[in-house]
Amino acid sequence: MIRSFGWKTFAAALAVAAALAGCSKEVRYGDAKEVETVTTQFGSTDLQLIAETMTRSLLQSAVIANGNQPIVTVQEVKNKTSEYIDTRAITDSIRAQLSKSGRVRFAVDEADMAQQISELQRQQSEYYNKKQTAEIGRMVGAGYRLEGNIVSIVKENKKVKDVYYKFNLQLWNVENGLMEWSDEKEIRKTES
Amino acid sequence: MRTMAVVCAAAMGLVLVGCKSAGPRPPSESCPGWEQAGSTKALVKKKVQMIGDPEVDVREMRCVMADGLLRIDVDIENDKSRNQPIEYRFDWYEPNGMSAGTEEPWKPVMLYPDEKRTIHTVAPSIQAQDFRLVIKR
Repeated sequence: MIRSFGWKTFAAALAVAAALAGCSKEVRYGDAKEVETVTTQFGSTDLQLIAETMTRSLLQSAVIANGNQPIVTVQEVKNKTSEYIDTRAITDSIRAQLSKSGRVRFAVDEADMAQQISELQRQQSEYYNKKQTAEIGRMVGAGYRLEGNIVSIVKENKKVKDVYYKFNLQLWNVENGLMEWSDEKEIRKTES
Repeated sequence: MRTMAVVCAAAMGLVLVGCKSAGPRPPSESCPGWEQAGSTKALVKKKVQMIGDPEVDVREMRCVMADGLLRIDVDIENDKSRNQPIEYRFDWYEPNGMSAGTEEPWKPVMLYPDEKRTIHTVAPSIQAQDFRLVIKR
């Protein structure tokens, strides 16, 4: 058989098979909480560290520590860095951790308002049992709003790249406009 | 006379024992698990897990409950006279031993030569009443 195709054809087929085998990469699950240092760009570890630091600090703030379960709404965290960062992912993590603590309640925020109104209006249709539909005009306003920003300073020469991130978060009293709490998390990453 | 001297010595001994037990309490006494451990060294052994043999000593632990949340300070020291990157995280447990359901990210720390550093943390919820510190290289 080999003789009929020739040794050259056989060798070529072997080489192609070897090349294809080399292309296949191993896939495995890793630790989602592991420190990630692939590049100096904003990464999963930065997001997790910021979310945890802000949450733990917020839990110690006077507004939340008194146990009155304040109602908070999450506003925008401005990305003032030169790279794309999904700041909503950071505030979502903070919100999730605060919710799990059981010490804060969250009111619907600006980003989710359209969906909330849409659902309220949908329930007013004739298809729903009037006794079980959500009434319009009973939504609860937040007493506090969370907002913040993230900035970065990038310095680079031929040998070293240094990236400094600073995430700042503030809790504002909606009624009187006073800032009730603020904290920040700094991160430095160096590539050489 | 001889009996009197023995009684006096015994009394003095009791006084000294009494003084010793009323001495300053170690800061780690306020940490959960102290009653079973009985000493800072035993408490550290019980509460700290080392992975990958980091050359770090855990010197002291301090715990305080504030507003229902457990706050912890852990003093660590770099055993080497060179920079040492380590990572750490806290695992949290409810009083009944169940996991408090919060998986923390590993936190990278660069320890400078012979540096002493305090790691500070706060429990993620009032249910998290006990902890374990994991340090890895």
